[in-house]
This record gives sequence, C-alpha cells and structure tokens, in this order.
Amino acid sequence: MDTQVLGISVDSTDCLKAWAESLGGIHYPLLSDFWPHGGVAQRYGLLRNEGYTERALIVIDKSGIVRYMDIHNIDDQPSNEELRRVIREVDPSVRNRPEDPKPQPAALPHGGIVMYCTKWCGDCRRARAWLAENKLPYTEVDITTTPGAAEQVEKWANGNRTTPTFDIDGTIVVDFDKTKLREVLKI
Amino acid sequence: MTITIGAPAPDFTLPSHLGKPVTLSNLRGKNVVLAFFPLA
Repeated sequence: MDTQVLGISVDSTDCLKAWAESLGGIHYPLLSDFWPHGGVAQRYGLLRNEGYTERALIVIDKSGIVRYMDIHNIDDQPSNEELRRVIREVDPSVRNRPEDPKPQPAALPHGGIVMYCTKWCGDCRRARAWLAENKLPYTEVDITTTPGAAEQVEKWANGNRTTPTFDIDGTIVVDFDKTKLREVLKI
Repeated sequence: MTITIGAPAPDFTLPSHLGKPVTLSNLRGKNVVLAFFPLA
C-alpha cells in the first residue's frame, strides 16, 4: 500500500534507537518529539500533563488531510487489522486493490535433512558428529539467529524450543533420537 | 489545541531513529499513519 507509518514519541533518538534494537530493528521511522518536548504531540492535542503522549493513531490522506483519529487506552496496542481497514476506507486506489497476501516469515529450508539447532547445545554437537559419521549431508538452521525458526520448532515440539529438531523431507524428529532418526533415514 | 477530521494535518519535521529527519509535508502522495506512543 502507498502508506508510510511513522512512530512518534517524546523520547530522544538515542532512546528510540536502543528500543528499536531491543526489538530486533524497526524499519519505519520512529520520530523523536523530544525538543521542544512533545511539541508536535501538543499541536495534535495528544500531550498528557505527565509529559508523554497518548497512544493514538492518526491517518492522513495523500493530500495531507486528517481522515481518522483514534486515541487508545494507553496500555492497548493498536491493531494492524484496524489500520488496514481505515486506509482502505480513506484511499480508493487501495480499496480497489486485492488484499495483500499475509506476510510470510523468512522461508526456512526444506528438503533433505534440516537440523534446527543452536551453537551451544551439547546434543546438537553430538548430532553433528553422528551425521558426519554416517556421511549424511544436512542443512543447519540456527534457531537463535534465523527469524521464524524458533517459532517453527515450538510448533513441532509442543511449545518447547527443543534442539536439535530435524525436518527430514517433511518428517519431524524432535530431539537427538537416534532410533527414530535411523528409522526415518532407513539406515 | 487539537486536530479535526477533514482539516489539514499540522506539518512538522522531526529527527528519526533511522538517521534522516522526516517532514510530514514531504509525504504528500502517500497515506500516512502517525502512531503516537508513550515509551520509556
């Protein structure tokens, strides 16, 4: 959609940077309404006496006109669904376009032996040795650095981040279970 | 002061955590969602 999201708070840019990093990076601009403190929030009527802003969403159309405004309970996160709905209402060119497909998490490898692991886990180390011993090629996915990988393992392993977990051409083996691995790999 | 639906949004230029300052009026031609949030 031809839509730019801007986050605005009264925090300093350094503080926003640190916060964005703690969340693994935020790709839309977080703007610092730090000096004069809350100056922009005040012009939008959103600065609270405590010195921070309301939690609010404002939609501005392509010609700079305010089309929607919603002040949320300060503890509520605004929902993306609600935002999409508003933008479709505001912008006919978006409304007439088909819905964007749901964003996919980064594609995880498939096919052959894929081992979900971490650098440090002992069973992962033993599994690597065992695979090498049996001359089995495999792909490693580090669940601590690959987006979506830990969640995928949780789905397979009843909510646990069990490592190693194997995806062998679609058959899942949770944990370094040699008996099960032999069975699946027919070795 | 407050804003009104149907009225022009007050323009501003603010520094961004991504480096470059952002000016609202430079974004004409795009829908803009301003998400005000209380943080730290």
